[in-house]
This record gives sequence, C-alpha cells and structure tokens, in this order.
Amino acid sequence: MLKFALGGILCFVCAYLGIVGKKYYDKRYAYLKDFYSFVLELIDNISFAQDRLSDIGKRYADSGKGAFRNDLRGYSETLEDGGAAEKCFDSKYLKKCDRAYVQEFFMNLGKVDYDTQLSKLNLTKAQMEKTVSKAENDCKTTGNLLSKLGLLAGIAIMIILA
Amino acid sequence: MERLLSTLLPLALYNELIGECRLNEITEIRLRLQRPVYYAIQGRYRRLGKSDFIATQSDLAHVLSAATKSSMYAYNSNLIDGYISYDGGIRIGLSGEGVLKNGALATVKNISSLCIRIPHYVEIKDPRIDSVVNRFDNTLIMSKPGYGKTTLLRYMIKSLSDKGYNVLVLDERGELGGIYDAEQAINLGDCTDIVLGIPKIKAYESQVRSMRPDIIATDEIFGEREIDCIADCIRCGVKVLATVHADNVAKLKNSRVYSKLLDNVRYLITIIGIGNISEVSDLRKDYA
Repeated sequence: MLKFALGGILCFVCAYLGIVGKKYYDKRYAYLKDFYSFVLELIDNISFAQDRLSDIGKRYADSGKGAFRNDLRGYSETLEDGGAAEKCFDSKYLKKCDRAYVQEFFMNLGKVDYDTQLSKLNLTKAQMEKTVSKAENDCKTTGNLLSKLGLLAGIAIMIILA
Repeated sequence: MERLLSTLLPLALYNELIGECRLNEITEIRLRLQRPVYYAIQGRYRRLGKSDFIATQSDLAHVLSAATKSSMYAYNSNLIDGYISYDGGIRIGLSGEGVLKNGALATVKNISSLCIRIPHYVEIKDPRIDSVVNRFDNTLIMSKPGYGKTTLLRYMIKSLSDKGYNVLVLDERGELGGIYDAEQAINLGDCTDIVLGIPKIKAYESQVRSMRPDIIATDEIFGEREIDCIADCIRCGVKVLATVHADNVAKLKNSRVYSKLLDNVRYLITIIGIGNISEVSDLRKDYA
C-alpha cells in the first residue's frame, strides 16, 4: 500500500515537472511572439502617427494579457518617470541570450532619428521572425516531449515500485 | 521649473547646479561634448563646478532622451530645424553632424552641443513700455540675440491681455507660453490664446480667421514670407506685436526685406544691452 502511495506521489511529481517544463516553453514562445508583434506595432506607429514611446507601450500593454505586456506596462511607466526602463524586461521565461537581446533593444529604442529607428526596427523584425519560429518549434517539440517524458517517467517509477 | 530641470538634466549636473546657484535665476545652460558646462545668469556666463564639470556623451544623451520623451524619431523635423521644444517653454538648441539625403538635410546625428534656454517672466517697470501698452498700435521689438526681446514680449503680451485685448500668440517653438501638460507654465494673461507648434506662416492664414484676435504676438520674425503675412494681418485690421533680430535700426532700414516691416509698425522698441531698453520710438510721429 505504502509503495503504491509513494509511486503515485512520484508519478504526480514527475508529471508535474514535465508540465512545468512545457509551460516554460509555452510562456517563452508567448513572450517572444508578443515582443515580435510589438515591434510590428512600433513600425506601423513610427511610420505614420509617431506617438510617444510610452503611449505606444501603454496602449499595447492594455490591449491584452501576458508577461511581456506586464513588463511593457512597467517600462512605459518608468519611461515617463525618467528611469532606466530597459531593466523592466527581466522575465524568468526568457533564456539569458533572449533577455539580453530584449533589454538591449529597449535600451536603444527611441534614441535615434526616424530613418535609423525604422531601419533598426526592420532589422529586429527580421531577426525576431526567426527567433519566434524557433521558439514555436521548441514549444511543440521540446515542450511536448518534456510533458510526455514526465508522465512516462512517473508511470515507470510506479511500475518499478509496484 | 525646478521639477522640469530635474527631469531634463543628468542627476550629477543637476546636483552641481543647485549647489552653486538658484535654479530660477538660470537663463541658459550650455553643454558641449568633452568641454566644461557653462550656465548663464542675467546674461553672464559662468563655468559650472569648482573643478570643471565636463559634459560627457551620456550627459548629452540623457538630455536628448528626456527632451524627446525617449522618442527621438518623432522629433526629426525639429532636429533639422536645430532645436527641440521641451515642456514649460524650455528650448534646446542643438548642433551636430548633418545627414543629407538627395541634397536635402534629412536629420542631424552625433549631436555635440546643446544650448538649453529657460524662459522667465519678468515684470518690466518702464513708463515708456506702459505708454505703448496703453495706446497700443503695431509694435516691433528689436535687438541682438539674447538681450531680452522674448522676455519683454511676454510682459507686453500679459499687459495687453490684462487690458482685455484678445491676444493670439503664435508660439511655433513653444517658448513663449511654456505649455506643460496642456496648461500654461508662464501666465500670459486671461485673454491670451496660444497657437503652439504650428508653423507661423500656416498659423497666420488659419488662426486669424478662426480666432478673431485683436492683437497677434510673435517672436523672431524671419524672412519675406512672414513679413508679407504680417502686412496682410495689419491690412485686415489686426494689430501686431513682434520681435526681430537686428543690430541697429539703420541695418533694418537698409534691408530690402526688413525695411517693409518699418513701414507697417508704429512703435519701435530698441534693446541695446541685456534687459536695457534704449529707445521707444513712435515712427509715425517721427515721420510726421
């Protein structure tokens, strides 16, 4: 009976770890996808309306939910107060290299003239297309694999203990 | 104004300034890359800091970022014109490296000098000015740059507004009224309407008809087109109060373009030193 209960708990823990792993990849994909669509929004706005960065950020943040939008809201508010706003993008769902990329993007955003800004945004757009596509792939393959592995490992432990 | 400067200036520079002088006395701050910072009080320049405060690239970037609300891309036309208007009527003149595109100036990069001009409202106690205000007619204020034309213009705008005239201020660069969060940072009177950020030529055409002013006030008249617009306003019966850069009256009279101005104005106020009103002439009386 004890073995059966222990096996159940271990199976649950393994399945849970698998789900956490999958969730990480899902969140990372969602974060990068939102970042990418914000870059598209920036290109549109800067090409025509040329609103203030904090206004564009707030509007985008309020248009939905998610970790990126929360960070962006904080960024927009910090911008208005004149603080080091790029530090707002410190999401735990990002890999170290992704985080550095996003922070550097926001650190340089709005500090160059119109033409240079648009060129930089178009470059970021091209780079992000690849990154988002890779993150989606990771989410489908590694994320799903982790959740299944977790469950399988749990069942295997249960069988061994039984 | 102190709050605006605390946002605009880098912390170290701001702290150095408040340690040395009263912020409300400063009229100008000059930042040049890798050079000592200067500030002006009543037209006199002083070096900042006991051991010179040297302006760094990051200091200039901070000011530009704050002035453009981190949205430099939206200020391209201002960069081309050589200035950025900040809140509260603060104007930041800038110089750097021009970028040409198809032969025309497309933008300015590598900005290496900033001239931050801080507006003030000063009560001017001069019976000659009061006399012009009491019997107001088209008036031109003339002096070299930095002698206080804009300060006198502000005072006259408020005085005329307080007398019940509808004064329309064409404030293309946002330095007369000093709008901050849609409110006037500098009180120009209850009967004053401010047209902010609209090119003056366009404003003469549209606002005169829509706002029906008694008086149009504008700073730094420049070029033949603007002088023609002013002549048109006067023809329509609107009085004009304006300033112009000029060394002396003779140079103004000898200029093909600017001599037209003198044909249209009645009062000419000449400033020959910082805040030193030398002469108030009634040109109609002089010609009579």
